[in-house]
Amino acid sequence: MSTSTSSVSATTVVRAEYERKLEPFTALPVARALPWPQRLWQQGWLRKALILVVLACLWEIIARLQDNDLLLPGFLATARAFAEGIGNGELLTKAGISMSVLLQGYAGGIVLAFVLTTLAVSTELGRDVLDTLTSMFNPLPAIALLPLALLWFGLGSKSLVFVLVHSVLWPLALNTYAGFRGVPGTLRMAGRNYGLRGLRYVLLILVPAALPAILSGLKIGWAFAWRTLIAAELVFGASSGKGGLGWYIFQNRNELYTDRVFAGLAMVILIGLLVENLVFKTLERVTVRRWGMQH
Amino acid sequence: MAAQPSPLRVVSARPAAAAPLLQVDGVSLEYRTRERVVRATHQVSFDVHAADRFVLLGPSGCGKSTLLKAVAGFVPPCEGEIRLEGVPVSAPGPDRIVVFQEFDQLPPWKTVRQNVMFPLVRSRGMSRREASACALHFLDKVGLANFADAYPHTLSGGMKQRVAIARALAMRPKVLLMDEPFAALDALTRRRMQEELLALWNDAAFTLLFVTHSIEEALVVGSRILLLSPHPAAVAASGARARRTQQPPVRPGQPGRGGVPGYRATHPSSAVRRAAARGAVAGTHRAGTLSPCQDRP
Repeated sequence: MSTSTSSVSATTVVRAEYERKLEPFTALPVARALPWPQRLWQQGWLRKALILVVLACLWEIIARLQDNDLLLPGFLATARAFAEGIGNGELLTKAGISMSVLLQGYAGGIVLAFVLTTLAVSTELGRDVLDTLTSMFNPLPAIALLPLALLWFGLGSKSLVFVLVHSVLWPLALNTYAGFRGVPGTLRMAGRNYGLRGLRYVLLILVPAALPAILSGLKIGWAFAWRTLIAAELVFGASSGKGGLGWYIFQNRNELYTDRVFAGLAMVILIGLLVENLVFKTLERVTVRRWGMQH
Repeated sequence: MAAQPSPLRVVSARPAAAAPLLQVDGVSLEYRTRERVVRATHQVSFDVHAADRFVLLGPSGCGKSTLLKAVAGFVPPCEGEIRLEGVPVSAPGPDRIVVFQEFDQLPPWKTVRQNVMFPLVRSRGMSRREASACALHFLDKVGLANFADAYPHTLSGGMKQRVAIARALAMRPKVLLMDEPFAALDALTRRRMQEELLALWNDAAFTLLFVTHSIEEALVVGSRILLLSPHPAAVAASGARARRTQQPPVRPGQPGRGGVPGYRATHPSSAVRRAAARGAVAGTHRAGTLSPCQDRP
């Protein structure tokens, strides 16, 4: 080892100096298009659609092997029940009822989360309040509050909205507050440098700067709200004669229309996919991705 | 506020006897950690007059940035007073715009033009049309008119600092505060930015308070230099630089030996040179080997 290093330092290779005149590069086009199968494979929606098709095929095969429509109707049977449900408007009405309750609870949760986190960034006491409340209530399943809610607000959409608010508020507040705290100090100082304070400071500086965290909180809140709603509807069914999707699933299971149960579940999944891909993806594309805050 | 985008806050040449624009009067600053209270600066006093390019020079971590933040109103002094045009500074405000060292001072959700417009609309109360025209004017001055609709994440570091400077100038603050604005840039860009800053000042003089740990930068940028000793910061020396010509500095190709390349003709005052030679700012290179400063009060 030592001999090789000494020999390296000792040798001085004489190399000729040279200069080259470079011709314009014409051997190949500088940019080439990928072959079309590769370009097609780059499309995310296509890959996802392929996954869905494979899943549907697997489902159908297993159902055929099982051969018991009561336990596991196949993909085709479910699709037929789904089309039927859409055709006679029943599924859409149920989805509409669920959706209106869901949006009320969701909006309520967002407003409360905003108030709590704004207080938390403004005062030390507010921060302690938020800390304590989130650590108390975030682990508490919203559905566990349903019996209480029924006691307080009676059978109706009010109790549903109450548990929905609970399911959205804590995860959203937690994420939003984490986002607020993650705003760079320089950006905060720049905002205060303009003389912004109070609500204007929160709305004009903190909220946009924390938008990636807020969006992920909104997504989590949306998923929690859906779960809670469907579960709540399964537990206590129709409110004042108008049931949502959970009720639709529950009722059809009682009547052993298993294909309709699957159609109801498919509706829940479809709405989830739509909201995720249309609403949230679009929101992300026009905001945080465009601003280079998320990749 | 004037809708006219062109004129800067041009400072007329005042007689030397005029009251200083910014007075820092016996200011001590402390910050609190979990266990102790740390004194960052101790009874620092200096006056900044209109159209000064006043440089706070000191080793890294000596408390000069804290001092600048106190002038900006982010850190309340525990002793002494900071007065702007005779009025004590109590909170951050748009009459003292800060250009920070970090690139994330630009809100990433606004385009370059919106970034400059934002404080004009929000704290100067300009209409969007006026603000847009004003923003374009100052972006043109810093050479970024073509990037008005780009988002900050697509810009290089030097361009981001130019946006911050344009934003600060457009606000026409009484004092422009700069906290090592070029420290995160590469050496070539840093030189160009220093020259551009001087060109902007030559174009229309503004009052500048500039923090740096680089002796070279202090000599290039400053018209008056305040030398701070470290831990806690106290004034070690203060002096004027030899009057610079109206031309932005021309740098000859061959660097001077040992000294600041191209700047051997202009020297800091003897006080600053003596203090620097004693090692009050030697800590810019070896923070651990600072010799104690005798000038500390």
